[in-house]
Amino acid sequence: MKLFRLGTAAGAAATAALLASGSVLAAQGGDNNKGDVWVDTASGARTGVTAAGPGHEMDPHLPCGSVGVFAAKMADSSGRLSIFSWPPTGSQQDIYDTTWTYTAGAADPQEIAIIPASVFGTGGHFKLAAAQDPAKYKVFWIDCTPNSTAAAGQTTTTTPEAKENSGDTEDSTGTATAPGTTTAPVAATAPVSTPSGSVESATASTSTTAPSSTTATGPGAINGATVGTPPFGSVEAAVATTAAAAGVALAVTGAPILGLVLGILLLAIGGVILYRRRTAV
Amino acid sequence: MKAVAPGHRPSPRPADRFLRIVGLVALLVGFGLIGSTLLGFYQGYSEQSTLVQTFKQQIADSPPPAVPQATVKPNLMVPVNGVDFAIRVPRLGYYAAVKEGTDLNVLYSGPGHYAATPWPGQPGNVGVAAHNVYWIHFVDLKAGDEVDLETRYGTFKYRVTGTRIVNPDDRTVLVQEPGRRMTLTTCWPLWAGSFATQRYVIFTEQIFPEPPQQSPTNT
Repeated sequence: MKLFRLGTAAGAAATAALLASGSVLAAQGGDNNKGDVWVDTASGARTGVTAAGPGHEMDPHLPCGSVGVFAAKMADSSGRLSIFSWPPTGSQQDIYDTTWTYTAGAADPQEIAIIPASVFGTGGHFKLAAAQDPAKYKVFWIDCTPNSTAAAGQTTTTTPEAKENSGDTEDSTGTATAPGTTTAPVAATAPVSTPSGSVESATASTSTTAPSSTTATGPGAINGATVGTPPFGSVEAAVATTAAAAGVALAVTGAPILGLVLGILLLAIGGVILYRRRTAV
Repeated sequence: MKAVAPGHRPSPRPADRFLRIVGLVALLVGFGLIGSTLLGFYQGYSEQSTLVQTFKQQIADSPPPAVPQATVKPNLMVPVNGVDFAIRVPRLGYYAAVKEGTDLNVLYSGPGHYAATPWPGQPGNVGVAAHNVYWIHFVDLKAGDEVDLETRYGTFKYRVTGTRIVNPDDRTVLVQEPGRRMTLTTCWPLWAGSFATQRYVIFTEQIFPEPPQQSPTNT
């Protein structure tokens, strides 16, 4: 009961913070909240961008990586942008603040801010508040599957349930749309925090159930806010081996010396040919 | 037999002419490839020098605390001017700025931080990768050696606990477990550049600040 009261208080505080962040900007852009804001995989381009996902549309499920905040037809040219860890995986805490900038008259859509991947840790549910007049809100999931980093930049599948969650205004009660068809959403053998506490790794030969007392470790624990794995209840990761699902894929770290080797080879070939022609004449 | 006048040079046959052209083209392309590769290395070196200077200037302008705070604001755990933090290996005299990400566009100029792993100061396993030729001396690192990560919110010191050569698809290296660790990865053999077929992994554990005690159920 006490926890419930604390949660309610935290929710009220977060809602107040969201409202406050919106009201700050109310004075700047006049009484005009026009324009659209949505998130997608970060593109790095500034204006006239074609987002990685389905263009001018909210992508409620994004892979691990930096997130681009896109906008079109905005009334204001800048404002505060906040990211909140959001239930059910988060606790409505403000975990990141930055400024969004929009160039009036430039080609739409525009990438008005980029949120670094480190903000999202191991993924989870988040809420974006782009203050304008008063503010635009979006909620989205960051799905850190073992392969999602490599899949960054690719189009993510939007489930019907998720599309319902892509409006500008969002239910502030914290009720989240559960991913409908997402499979193997977590590195199941890594220690993660799930409300249900039941994380199963369905490997080819073994099935391990993580202890319910799994602590919130790893990058998901930001400022005390548990930003972990979406609570899919019993999460099954159908993977071939435990190792394959355990950690991040290793980077390709061979220095690019192919050109050097090919160049030396071509120099040798060219030199031999010219030398032989010269001696033959 | 046809007499050849002194000083007269017979015109080359078409096959000879073709071979000569092939030889010249091979030389030109060879020089081009070597030049572009060396230019790439120079640009990477140059950018790394700039990043190091920029990072050192940031640290000088806003000195971090001698002992990092237990809780770090996430706003500090973001790249500034492209740099996440710096890595120092005292025994090898190595110092480099670490950028965010591990794709080729990042690693050409120095080490990169695995974006899906924690930052220094966060619980878990910090992952850092670099091209093998940049870490050619890292094979000298042995258990007990110190590796430091300098951030804008303090310096974190790690001690090498071991090394391992693994396959490129090994997912057991960068796992997130209780505790505070850092793992360095590069390609193996170190001299083989892009022809390397395996990965060299250096495992470390944080020694400063002393990590919080784990509960008995955790390692």
